[in-house]
Amino acid sequence: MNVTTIDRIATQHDGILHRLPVWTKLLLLCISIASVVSTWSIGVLIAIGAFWMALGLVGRLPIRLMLGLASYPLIFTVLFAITTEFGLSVAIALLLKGFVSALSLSCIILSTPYPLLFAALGKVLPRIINDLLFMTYRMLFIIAEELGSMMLGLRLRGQLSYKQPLKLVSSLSTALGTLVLFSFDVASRQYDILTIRGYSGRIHYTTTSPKQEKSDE
Amino acid sequence: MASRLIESRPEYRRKIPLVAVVAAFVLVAMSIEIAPLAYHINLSIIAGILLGPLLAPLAAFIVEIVLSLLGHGGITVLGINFILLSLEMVGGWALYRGISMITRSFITSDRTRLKTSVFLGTLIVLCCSTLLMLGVVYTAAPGLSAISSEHAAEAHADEGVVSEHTEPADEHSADDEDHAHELPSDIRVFASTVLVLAPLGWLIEAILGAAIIGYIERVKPELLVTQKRKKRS
Repeated sequence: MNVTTIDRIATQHDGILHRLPVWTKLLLLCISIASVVSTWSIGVLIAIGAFWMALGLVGRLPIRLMLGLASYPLIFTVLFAITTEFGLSVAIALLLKGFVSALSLSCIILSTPYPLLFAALGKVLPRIINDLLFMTYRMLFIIAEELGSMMLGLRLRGQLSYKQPLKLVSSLSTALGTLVLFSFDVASRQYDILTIRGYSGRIHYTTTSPKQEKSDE
Repeated sequence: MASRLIESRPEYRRKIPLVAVVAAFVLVAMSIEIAPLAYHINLSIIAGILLGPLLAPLAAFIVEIVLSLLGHGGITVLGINFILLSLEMVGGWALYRGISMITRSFITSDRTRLKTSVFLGTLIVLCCSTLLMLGVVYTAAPGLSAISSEHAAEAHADEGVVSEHTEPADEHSADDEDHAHELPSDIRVFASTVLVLAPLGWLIEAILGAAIIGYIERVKPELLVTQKRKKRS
């Protein structure tokens, strides 16, 4: 789950999918997910999957990353499909349902910058949820970077060896405990910054992409 | 409800960045994989303890939305995932408080009591949420079984096979109803696989949770001080 890479591709790449309006993409996504949920036909599911793969190829999205993201649900679905007795066709349909819905979402997030996606979702979600999504997204990078440097430090000191489980648990819990304290500091600082900028319980979003803003200038 | 509470009471506005940061913390913690076991930690109980029962569901919802956008959670099961994660957070908080109060009389050391509460709370909550997840699968099983029978019937019809398996529609649906009562056999292997593998995950999570709370208690105990204690002091 490399959020930084996803964000870079969504904001910096240029393809047909990147240029499509957010609402068009969301409408496509809704139709696709509704079809995936309602059908049990393997042929239809493969066709929807092929459609999103074609869109990804035409939109010059990194196919390996797209497939990697889409295959997360497969891990759990495979376990379910193998251990239950619902028959081969249902097992394949179940696997495809998870894979195709994740594939369609990965296509959307790899071609739409998050602020635009949240601005569009803000029309249907409660305001507070939208603000929280936006803040979580911003803080995700700060916390992930902090955890990354902590883990690197621990690894360099040989604290994350699986041969010494007690040492591993102690180091990992110290790192995560420090991360909790760091997170609280970040939250407090974030609130102060927002207050200085005139935050009164509502964040305003732009509806244009960074590229559009640049070209307008 | 929590969202209305924040909007109606300005003092809760300060908590918005905190909810966001805890949601981000849970998401980042989920990226740490215990490699030999291919298990990723959750820390939902720690999040519940830090946020409390009103704000924890908000963080759970945000975590699930972001996970589903990344293809990790599944957009079609967003609702049930949200309910399970919220229950973990709120249940974890309640058990932590409950066990902490019960053990106050015989565990005098604050740190040991907190660690014990988190350890036991995490084990119980994760066990309950796994059982709930199996319950959800169990309730979905009749539908899957019916679809499986339909597929089998269609395959027989395509091949032009007339056998004892291709009954008329009425008989077929009656047969499905009978099967619905025997369904546990369909998911028995899945349930036993999950119940064999999951306790290891619960144990890792409980040990890590207890150690993290122990660390916070040592470094910044005021984060774990309850409102009552704050008023008293």
